[in-house]
Amino acid sequence: MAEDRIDSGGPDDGLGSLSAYAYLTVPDRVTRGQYLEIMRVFASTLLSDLSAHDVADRLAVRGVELPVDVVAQRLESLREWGDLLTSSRPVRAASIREYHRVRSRYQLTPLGERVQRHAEEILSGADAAREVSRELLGLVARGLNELDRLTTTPGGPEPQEALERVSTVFAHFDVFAGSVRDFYAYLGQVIFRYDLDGAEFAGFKELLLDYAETITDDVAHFAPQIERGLAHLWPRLPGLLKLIDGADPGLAALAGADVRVQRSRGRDLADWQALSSWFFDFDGSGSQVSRLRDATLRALQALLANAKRMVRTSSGELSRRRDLLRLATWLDSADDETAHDLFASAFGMYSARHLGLAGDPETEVPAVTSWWHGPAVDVPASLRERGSRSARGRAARAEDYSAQIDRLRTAAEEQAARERAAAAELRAAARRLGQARLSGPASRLLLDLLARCMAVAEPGFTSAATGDDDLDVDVEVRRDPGRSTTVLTVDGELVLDGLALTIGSRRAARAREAAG
Amino acid sequence: MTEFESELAAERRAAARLLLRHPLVTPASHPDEFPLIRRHADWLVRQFQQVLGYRLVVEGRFARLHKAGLGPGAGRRLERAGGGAFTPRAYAYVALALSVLVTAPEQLLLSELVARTRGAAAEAGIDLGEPNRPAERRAMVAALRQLTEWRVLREDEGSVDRYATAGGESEALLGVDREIARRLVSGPLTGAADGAGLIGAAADPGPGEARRLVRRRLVETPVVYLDELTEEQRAWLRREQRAEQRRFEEFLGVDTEIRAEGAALLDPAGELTDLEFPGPGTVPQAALLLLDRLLERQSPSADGPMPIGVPVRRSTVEEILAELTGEHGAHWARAHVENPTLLRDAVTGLLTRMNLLAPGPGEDTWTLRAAAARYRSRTDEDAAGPRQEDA
Repeated sequence: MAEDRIDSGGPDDGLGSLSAYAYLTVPDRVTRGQYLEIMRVFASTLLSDLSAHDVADRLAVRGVELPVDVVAQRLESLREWGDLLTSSRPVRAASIREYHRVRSRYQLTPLGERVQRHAEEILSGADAAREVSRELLGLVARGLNELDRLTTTPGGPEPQEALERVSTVFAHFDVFAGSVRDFYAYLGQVIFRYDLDGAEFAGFKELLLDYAETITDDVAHFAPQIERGLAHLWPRLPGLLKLIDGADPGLAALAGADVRVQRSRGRDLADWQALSSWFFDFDGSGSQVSRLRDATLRALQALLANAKRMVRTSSGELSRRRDLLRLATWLDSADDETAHDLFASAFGMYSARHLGLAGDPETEVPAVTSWWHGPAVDVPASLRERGSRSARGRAARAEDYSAQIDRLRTAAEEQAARERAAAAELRAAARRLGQARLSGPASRLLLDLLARCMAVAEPGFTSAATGDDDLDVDVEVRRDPGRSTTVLTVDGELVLDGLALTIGSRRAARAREAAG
Repeated sequence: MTEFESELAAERRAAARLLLRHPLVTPASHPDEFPLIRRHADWLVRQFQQVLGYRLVVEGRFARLHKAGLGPGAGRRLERAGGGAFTPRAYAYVALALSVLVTAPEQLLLSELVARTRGAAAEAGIDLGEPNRPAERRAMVAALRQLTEWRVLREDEGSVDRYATAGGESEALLGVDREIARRLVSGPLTGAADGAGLIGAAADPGPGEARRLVRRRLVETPVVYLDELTEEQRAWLRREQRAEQRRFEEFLGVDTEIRAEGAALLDPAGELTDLEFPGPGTVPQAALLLLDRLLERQSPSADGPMPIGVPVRRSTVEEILAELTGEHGAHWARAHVENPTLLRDAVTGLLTRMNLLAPGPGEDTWTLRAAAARYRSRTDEDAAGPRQEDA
């Protein structure tokens, strides 16, 4: 009948195939168990179809007692969800009863098979850390090299051998990539817990520090080889795949018959692209390898945070909690005053407390003086009379800073005199620049003026000038290629290459400007 | 001392003073000063250990100075935001909430915290009665508000005050700092058998450490009177007082006033204290004036023994306060003018906490203590006394 044709795929919206999971999430546990057992029965067969009676019999063998009409109901539901389909094997019935029995035969769909297989995997080994098959990575690298060698042999590769190699490479790679994914998924689930105790922590430390590091090391080690292999192979891949298809079409022929086909891994160029993007970043989103490194780093950081936390809370939360509860009991049953004392004793969160208005530090008071008759402090009148705010702290005498002021003034005057002397020396040395040796202050003044001069000069200047009006010294710098000016100082020689230097009096320079 | 060294010393003093004033400092609570504490952490840890026997912990997100207890009758208490001291129930809520917060996740809802705190109360065997009563709610809010001030809780959305009113907008989202929560408790809880045991053990400086106790008293309390010290402690203080004076000057920038009756640390900047006296406001002014009058009447005469304390009758205190209310009531707070008992309790409470007055002996006397005399009004006689006159 028409509806017994093999379905070539799910309904159009693409999500309909997910209804195959429905039997795993039925609310009632008992029913769910029944579905599971029925699917197990089917999964243990290969290419056979079973009727409700057959299924009921086999269930009885497994120890599950279910009446046939219940089984029939279950089978119908599974069919609706897409895990089973009614068989279309033509069977000739010998009687009406047998006709009814034969009519309702069911077999497993590919979808149902996959869903059941996954369900079994989850049920059997959900929370286990899966070992990463690192050794396969080396085999992948070697396989690629072999393929490379094959394709470069004169006469072209042997299709059969090439097919074997391709399948092997991808078989290894798929297992490896799958195990890595599983391992990191498991790690992610446990490493971010913040309640690890000592033993668990030690276990994870080993897992992470040793194992994860090794994985990333292996990947880093083989990645260059794999890259080289892929790079060599890549231009010849389309030709190789066509050659293989030519020799052994497999299911390629069905592609023409409007049947969706999933080819063996490695026979499609897309598979090769997926393989290389695992190792190398093509589109900027990062390769799987770099994501692996990041994930390891994140896991290490989480481990470190855990370690820090464990070190810090060495006394353990449980006992702290107990202590706090006991404290609460004491506090609650105490009288007011005792409660204050208990709180201060348990928490120590009080401030230092002192009287205000310190005494005059200048006054010497012998230690045996009594407070009763010793000096009293000067309480600001505003506090006594009005209870209002005035300046806090000690009521001290006005400070006398005149001595300091004099000292500072003298120092400033001396400094000014030194600067004027340096300027005078500089002016005097103007005519004998190459011969007179400038003193320290004078040379420093010159350097300062030169720096200022250069700062105001435009790039590519021919001449620039600056000066100091107070000190009456003017400095002009002119570009003069071939000429070189030397200035001798006590600290060394200053050579100005390609520049001519003129030192003069600022007042004179201004007068010249004014005169035009 | 070079300029650099004196700057360094000034920074360390500032850091030490801040910690004594606020034993828990975070970058959020004191953004300018926290880096100072970090910078001088090693020095501060050593100093606090050597001088006071306090343990200081400085980490990336907080600095915690674990102070010792002050023994019974120390008069240190938490105040609620609206005024008034914490009740035993409110204190209990603090401890119960903390027991939840030390293992809480990063964030939780206000309602969750309240529920778990009540669960903790049940576990501790505390009968909360009707937990939704206004008084209970206010106590819970007071506790949570205090925890928020201590940065254990963070108000990510809404405020803990919302819990005070039943119904309406009463949910809030709170962030939890587990590290600070774990660091809040300071005293020797684990070994204590009961409340009294805890108070005693927390104040115990350890064997042979008489000086630590005296130093702690000097640093934390306004005045240390000789009659509060043991023979050993008194002897030590007498011997070391000048050295201690220098030590505190260097460490904290405070003056030490040494007198026949005892000693007091005083801060010239007036910052190193939680209570200000003398200070502005009705109660401090009333207290100051009360002292004036009492001292006029009852100072021991200049010749004769100097007692550490002088008895004062309660009735005298009440009389004087009534007089003062008459004279100054016009600009005093109404509540204190209209309720003499409130005024009396507030004034005597303040003076007691500043170690200037003490209850007893007996039911109807107070004791006026010697340090009060430093605040007497300066008469001509005083001005001509040992103090130098200005020009």
